[in-house]
Amino acid sequence: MALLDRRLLLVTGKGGTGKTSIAAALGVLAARQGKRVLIAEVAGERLSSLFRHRPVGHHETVVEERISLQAIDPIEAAHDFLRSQVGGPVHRVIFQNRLFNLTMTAAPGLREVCTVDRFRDLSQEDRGRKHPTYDLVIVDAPATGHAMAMLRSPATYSGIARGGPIKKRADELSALVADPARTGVVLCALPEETPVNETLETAEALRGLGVDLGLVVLNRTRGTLLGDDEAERIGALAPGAVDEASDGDLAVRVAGPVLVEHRRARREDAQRERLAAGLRPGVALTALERRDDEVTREDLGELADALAEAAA
Amino acid sequence: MSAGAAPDGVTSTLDLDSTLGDARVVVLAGGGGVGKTTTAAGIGLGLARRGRRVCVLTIDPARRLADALGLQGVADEPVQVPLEPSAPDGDTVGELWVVMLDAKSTWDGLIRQYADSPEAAEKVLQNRVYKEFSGAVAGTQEYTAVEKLHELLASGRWDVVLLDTPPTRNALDFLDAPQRLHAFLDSRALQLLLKPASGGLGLLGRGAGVFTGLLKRALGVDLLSDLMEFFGVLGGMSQGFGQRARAVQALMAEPRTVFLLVAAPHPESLEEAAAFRATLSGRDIHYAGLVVNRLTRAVLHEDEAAVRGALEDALDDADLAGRAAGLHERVRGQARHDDALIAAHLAAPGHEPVLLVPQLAEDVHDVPGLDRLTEHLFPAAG
Repeated sequence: MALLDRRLLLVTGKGGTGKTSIAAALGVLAARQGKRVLIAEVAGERLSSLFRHRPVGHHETVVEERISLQAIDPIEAAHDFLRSQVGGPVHRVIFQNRLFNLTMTAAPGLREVCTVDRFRDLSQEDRGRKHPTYDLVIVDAPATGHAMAMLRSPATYSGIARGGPIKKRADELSALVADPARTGVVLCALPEETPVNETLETAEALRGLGVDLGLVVLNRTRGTLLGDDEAERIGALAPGAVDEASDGDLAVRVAGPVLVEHRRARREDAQRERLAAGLRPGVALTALERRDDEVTREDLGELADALAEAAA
Repeated sequence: MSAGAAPDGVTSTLDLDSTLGDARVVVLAGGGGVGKTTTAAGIGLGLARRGRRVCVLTIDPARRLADALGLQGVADEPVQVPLEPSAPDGDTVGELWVVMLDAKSTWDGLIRQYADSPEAAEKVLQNRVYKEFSGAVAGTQEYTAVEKLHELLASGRWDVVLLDTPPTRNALDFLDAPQRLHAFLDSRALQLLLKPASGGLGLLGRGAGVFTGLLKRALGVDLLSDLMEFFGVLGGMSQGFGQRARAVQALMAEPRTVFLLVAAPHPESLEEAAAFRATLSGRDIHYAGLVVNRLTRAVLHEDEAAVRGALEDALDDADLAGRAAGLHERVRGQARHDDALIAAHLAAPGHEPVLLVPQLAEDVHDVPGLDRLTEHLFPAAG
């Protein structure tokens, strides 16, 4: 199943792996294919500034042709859920209740379940006349640990609450996230040891949950222009340790930085190979080159091009 | 030129030797993926090499580093790292210990300590809500980290304890965790939830009764009774938690407790540092400065042609010189970017001292690697 033909994509990865840019680029790519896309983020708002729009908050907001954003507030998501359960008028009575907020903080996984329920609602094929329908919902999810807790929360919750409407809903949500025709995960990684370990562990954990891993994006890769012997020849120009700054001729001063970069690129190559070898056959892996500057709206098109083949 | 300085750009202004000279607690805060654990271990090793008995309390070290330090599979128990004498002076006087936090077992210990009776403790430990809560709820890891810190200090076995805090978007979350937890357990709302049926509570009481009815409908009865039981027992421990929260607050305010922020040369990471600095005013904590890891270094002010010429003269190989100059030009782009970011950060009024640690030639995953890192963390001694 092509990545963008599902209804719900969760983009996650360790902090600093470029999840937000990749979620946004996938959104741009899908919109280019004519899909109506909603990109959602959880507990934070960075996408609106990337799309040069004022903050959108917990409201579905069209920011470009075929692209909408929502910054999901987990507490608001819980209110949305309760409203659907008890009805608007009753909900208003308890809307500002401190006990409610307390329960939300304390009940394990409740916020997560309500957030996943928001994804379910957004990704429905028919949302009625009052709400827009999207072909694809892309979630710029929290970092891996929290995202996994989120994916597990329906099952966890279903185990704790032995009855009631929330259990029924939690079971529906478990079915949604474990349906590869509807839901896929995109994991973002960096070519370094810990992020690669974590990516491989997460890939297995997703398998355990029955959640489909649609794509792994290895971000910020660098290559070298030198062979190992050549790099060492250059490093030998510097008198001391290569990561110490040295004085002297220009050739001596550039030798350290060149060798450090070469070795770093080589270590990254090794991590990339380890990642490729560790993923199950059939899991798509694609690499994006490192860039000096922050991703802007202009760069998203280029990133979308780079992801197009892997997402096809 | 000192080892901690970039070749021709921003330079370090934070001297850990003098800053941490008589520190008893060093708290390292910062987001994920910035090298906080490695920095904590490197500073710990540096202090041990200076003769101090050091314990590093860490949360989730990279596997190879954990292996090298002997932490594999050992949670909650301090492990001593065998230190080879460091060349060239040849003597190791201090000690380096590391301990990996296990939030769950620290919680269990707390429950046993504060519960009224062993039976009450057992009741909480078996409660399903507690089992989820102790491992999962945001803020509980921060809370157990300071709790463990307290325990390590109380043992008197170490001169200085370094705390590698859980990664948080906001470094202050960690500081506020004990207070938040106590406020949560102690809240009036909680008391009302526990006594929804008692009469004479007025509107709030009736509201709570209606409310719990609705919660039953929406959440399922069993969950609610587990929640009530959980709060019932944990709420009874609120006094103990309150005392501990105050003790931790006092410890954090001590002059010998030093805070360091660890960042990477990325805009978000430095923004976090700026936010941390901004929120410090009015707080009684001692923030010593910012450690920026993995700074890319290059010769900033020479272009590709000049570098190619110099390498050609030195190597007598035009092809290699051309490719190496191309690689240097790429590093230079990143180095300029890093340099400009840090210069902009330092240009803000009232900026903190900064320690710049260059990208090392090798990853740090053993004690010799940590020693190399330590040379950059304590450059004056090198």
